[in-house]
Amino acid sequence: MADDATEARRSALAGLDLGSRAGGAGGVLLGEGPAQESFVLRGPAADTAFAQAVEEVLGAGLPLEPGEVREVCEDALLIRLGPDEWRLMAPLSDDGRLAARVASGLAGGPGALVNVSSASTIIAVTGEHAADLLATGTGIDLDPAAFPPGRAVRTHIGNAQALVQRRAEDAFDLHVPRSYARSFWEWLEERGREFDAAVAL
Amino acid sequence: MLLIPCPFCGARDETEFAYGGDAGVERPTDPEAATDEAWTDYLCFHDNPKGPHRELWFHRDGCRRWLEVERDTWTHELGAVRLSRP
Amino acid sequence: MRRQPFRAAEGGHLIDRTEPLRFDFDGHRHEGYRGDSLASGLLAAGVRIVARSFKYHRPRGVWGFGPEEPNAMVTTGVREEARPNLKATEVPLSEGLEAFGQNAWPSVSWDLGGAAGLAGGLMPAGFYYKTFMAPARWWPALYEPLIRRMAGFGPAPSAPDDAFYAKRRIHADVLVAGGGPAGVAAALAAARAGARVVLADENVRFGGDLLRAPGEIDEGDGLDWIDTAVAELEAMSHVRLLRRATVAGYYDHNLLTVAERPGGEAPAGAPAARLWFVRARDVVIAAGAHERPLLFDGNDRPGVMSASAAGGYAHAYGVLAGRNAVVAGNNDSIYRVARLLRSAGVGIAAVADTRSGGDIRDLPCRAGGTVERVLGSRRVRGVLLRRADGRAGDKGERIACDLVAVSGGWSPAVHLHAQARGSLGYNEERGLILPDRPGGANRSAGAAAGRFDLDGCLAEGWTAGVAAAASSGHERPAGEPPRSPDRSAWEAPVFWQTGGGKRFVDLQYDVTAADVDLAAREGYRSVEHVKRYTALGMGTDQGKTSGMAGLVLLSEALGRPVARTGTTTFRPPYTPVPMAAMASGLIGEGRDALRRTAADDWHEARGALFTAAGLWRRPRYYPREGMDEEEAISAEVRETRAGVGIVDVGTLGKVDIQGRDAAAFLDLLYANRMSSLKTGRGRYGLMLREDGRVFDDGVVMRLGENHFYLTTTTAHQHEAMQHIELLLQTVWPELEVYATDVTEHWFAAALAGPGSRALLGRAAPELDLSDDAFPMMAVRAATVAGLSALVFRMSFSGELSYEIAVPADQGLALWTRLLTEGREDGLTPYGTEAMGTMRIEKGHVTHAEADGRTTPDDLGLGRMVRAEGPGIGKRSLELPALRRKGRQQLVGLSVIDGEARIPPGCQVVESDDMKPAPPLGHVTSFCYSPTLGRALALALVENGRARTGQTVYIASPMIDLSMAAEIVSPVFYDAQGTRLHG
Repeated sequence: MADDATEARRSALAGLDLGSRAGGAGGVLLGEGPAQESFVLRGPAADTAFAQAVEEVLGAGLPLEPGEVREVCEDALLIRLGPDEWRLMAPLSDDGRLAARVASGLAGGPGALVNVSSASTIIAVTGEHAADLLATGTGIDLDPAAFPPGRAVRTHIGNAQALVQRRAEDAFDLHVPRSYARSFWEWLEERGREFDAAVAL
Repeated sequence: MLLIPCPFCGARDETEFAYGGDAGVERPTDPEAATDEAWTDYLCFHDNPKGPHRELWFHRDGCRRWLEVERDTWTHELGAVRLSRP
Repeated sequence: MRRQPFRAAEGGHLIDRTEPLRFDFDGHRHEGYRGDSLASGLLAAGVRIVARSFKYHRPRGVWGFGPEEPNAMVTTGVREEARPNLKATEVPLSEGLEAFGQNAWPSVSWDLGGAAGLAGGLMPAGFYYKTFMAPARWWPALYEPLIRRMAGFGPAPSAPDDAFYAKRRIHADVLVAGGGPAGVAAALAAARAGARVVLADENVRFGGDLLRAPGEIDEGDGLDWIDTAVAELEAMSHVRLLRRATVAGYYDHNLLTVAERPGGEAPAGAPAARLWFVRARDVVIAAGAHERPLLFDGNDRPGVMSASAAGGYAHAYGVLAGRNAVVAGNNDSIYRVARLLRSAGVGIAAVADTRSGGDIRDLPCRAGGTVERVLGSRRVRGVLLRRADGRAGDKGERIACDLVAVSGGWSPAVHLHAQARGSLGYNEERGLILPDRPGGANRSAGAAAGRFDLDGCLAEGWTAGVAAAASSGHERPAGEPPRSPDRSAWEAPVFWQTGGGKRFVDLQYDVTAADVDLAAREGYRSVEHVKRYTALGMGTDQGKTSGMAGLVLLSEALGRPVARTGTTTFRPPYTPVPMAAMASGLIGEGRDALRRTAADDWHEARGALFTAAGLWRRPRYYPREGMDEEEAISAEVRETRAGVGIVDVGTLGKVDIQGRDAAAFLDLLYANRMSSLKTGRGRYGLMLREDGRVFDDGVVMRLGENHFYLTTTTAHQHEAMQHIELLLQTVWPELEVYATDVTEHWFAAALAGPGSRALLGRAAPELDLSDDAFPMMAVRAATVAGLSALVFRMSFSGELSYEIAVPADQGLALWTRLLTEGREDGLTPYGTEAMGTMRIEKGHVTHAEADGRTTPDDLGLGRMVRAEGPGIGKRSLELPALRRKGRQQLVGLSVIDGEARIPPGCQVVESDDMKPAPPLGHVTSFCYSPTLGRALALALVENGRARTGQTVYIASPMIDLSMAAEIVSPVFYDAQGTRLHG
């Protein structure tokens, strides 16, 4: 049998049948984002060999501000999540090229690359009350002055840990652990009653 | 709820962290050479001061770093906070 | 009769006379206006008795204006809609509102319990403690129901509350608690400086005291100034105004809760209540002050009311709290109230000022006079006035009236300041408890800080706003603070009481001055003890009106200064917050996440019964037609041992370890050696805690020279990562190792049973499954059922077994394809019960055995521990306590009676006489083994291994059960391990 991952893939939210819930205009829209290729990149930020290796393979230097999101090669994004931790995200592709390239670039030096593409489900929360809905369950400051669009933070929202990527003032991508995704969605819908949350596909 | 100024992430709610105990406890560098008494001191006999205390907090929901936090156990006032491993 | 007999012809800035509302109180229909509170509506309708008191069932009317209300406790709605213990002053009137006075049957005006009032002298302080002492066995059946019926508050609703309650977390540079003149001035100053401001006020309209009485600000009407300022604030995007929102709690590091009750005018669909959590850089406490009562005989009669409230009902609602009033007090505010009442159409029979001196010509003043006693039994019919200095020969003066408006001075609302652990000081001269040193970044302003003149409140509020904004780096705003010509300070230097009789201190809990005296005579000294003994200040009003009176009385009774008596502890919340608002988001669906594996939908469709494993749910077993639970589980075990079974092990923790020092680190992390593993091979490992107890177990696989994959137990996924990071970041920071939790990325299923090789061979035709090519504890990358997978050969069941891991998004595909492929093999899905049964049969330990107290040796795993090296926990294994004889050790228990079944929670004892005796140990795991046809248990037993062959008893004294069992090796089945090879 040939590897047919594409056909075999299934969203963690599939059991909710979002299609049947879609429709309506609300103060906030909930939707599932497209699956992505995603890697944890680890390494010492201060090590020039590591930084250079990353820059060479990704075509852009390491983002160094906490939560900074940098566009790198081939529509990929690199996000700084910790002193020695980044997240590399790219559109889904089954050729494994990106991973292979980064891994070979890092070979021999410090650092590590771990595939976590299946580990998260992406839930998009958008609309006038998007930040208000998140504020029902997280302690981080969602004021655009403190958390500007284009940034990302890892925190806890409602019943799950989430990597929150702010795309615009009123648009967030929440990367939540896959096993939590369905429960987290249900939590969003329940809290979303306050804002007439609607499902967008 | 405490607001802990994580040196990497910025100020975050206490609920994002896990408490890790006394940061001042030094593990004997050569455990095999430690006497039973020195080892049990390290394991069990920690200060429990009313006042300033240096303690470990794990930023579980943020940068996943262990922090050394100076906290007054009586007022909850926080002093210096640093990454355990810079 | 007019429908609102006590509504003035005009006036009332909070009401809209074009919109009448009908409401029912105790079954009688009344009318009010939009904007009314239930209290103002009742007063307008002439309803004077609103509730019965807690202990004596005395008739009670409206006393206050807001959250300080001690008396007018009502329930709104009936049965499932019932909302008990609301203050009529805080309930907005709405069309069709149904409300009931509390503590009375059948109604407040005709209450049978009122007989308790006649016997009032029989219920002194501590009555319950003294009376319902013995016999104790009467408590549940007699005393408690009796007390609850007589003394309970309103009825609990009969059904779950399905209203929506909301919560919100926000951040602010400056939170201003209270929207009176000081608060609005503070908010304006801070907002103009550019600070992010949240201004919260309990009323529907900002204005604070200006709602109750007119004042002048910046040469215009005070409320107009407030409205203009509020409009300016509302237009600023960095300001949030919260109305009908009380700052209720002040917690660590400037986290405050604000309870919002949208109610009344709220748009449809608004939550029933919303709890805000505000993290503020700085806080301005402008919470105002509460008017104190005067203590005189009958000061609880309906018709006796806080003077500012009486004036407020006239000014804000155009409601006359009476036709003919006596105004009495010890400070200048009573003159303002008297004029306000008079201009609204209330006759002023007398104004009694306890202070001698100043006579006001336009009012019927009784300088140096006060109320001695109220006349009238169910409501005020008049008062007996006397000279306040108690001059001999004073016969007093009877004055007819139906309203007694009293002011005993003002108590600053220091609650938030005190909750923040700020210190309080008693100002002897002014008779005030005032905020002293703040605890945390906050400042009190206005009446809350003891400023009682409008001009001073505005100036102080402005200054506080400027200072609060500065603490988040905002510079002083342009403009001047607002001014007012009102500089009259309502000082009331002496607390004042008079005469004997029933002088109530705490109206809500029926605590009288005599009760406080009695407590002091009975030896109570601490104000905290007196509070609990008498219940003073323990009501829903939290002693807002009574606290100061109680404190002064106690100090007098003990003959010591007030400052030495001190206050009781101020705890949040400042006003009651609905439990439903606190619980919002924490109950029902979504409270905790339910973690699902990738194959969860399949399990559910198959009708699996689930069990909780931490936050995960896992199939316990798959029920079968015509079989009970034990039979279905036994079938899963038998079919697996005889053929092939499949189990979802997606919940196990999985960690990716990489880095130059990965192998060296694993030698430190585990008690056994991992660095000697060859690539492609794995090993069972034990993680110890530093104290030598087993922390976790799992399998370590070497994927490359510097690359490992390890599993943790389901329960310890997060703890293990935290432990690993602790070691890497604090103990051995020099090691270059990167640990990544990949639990969520991988799904895994285990095929177990002699048929697993054949099945896997068809699903992964390229994989050589021979013992030589793929031995025990080896790992291979392979395509399984068309999916890129990692295959581990390991076994938890004791059978030949393979664990197959694929990225979780393909987990369901792997599961269903294997089941399809396995149809011809009779592949049996099994759950945690069958898995548990098989592991007990094999003597494998789980958390039940590795319970945080057991060492590797206790569990019979001592051989695994590598002697040398500085690994975590190993040094502790040499401590005498962990080496001593007599420790509990893991053994197997084979139940002799094949029909017997072991219940949960059993002890292991030496004798079956069921007499109390120290147990030898306890059962940790048990099952019915279909393989051996009897019940089995694993147990921790003192010196267990040396007792092999002994007969002991599995006992559960709670259910009077005892059964004989033989101590055997914990490996009940296939001790040689031949089945591992299929």
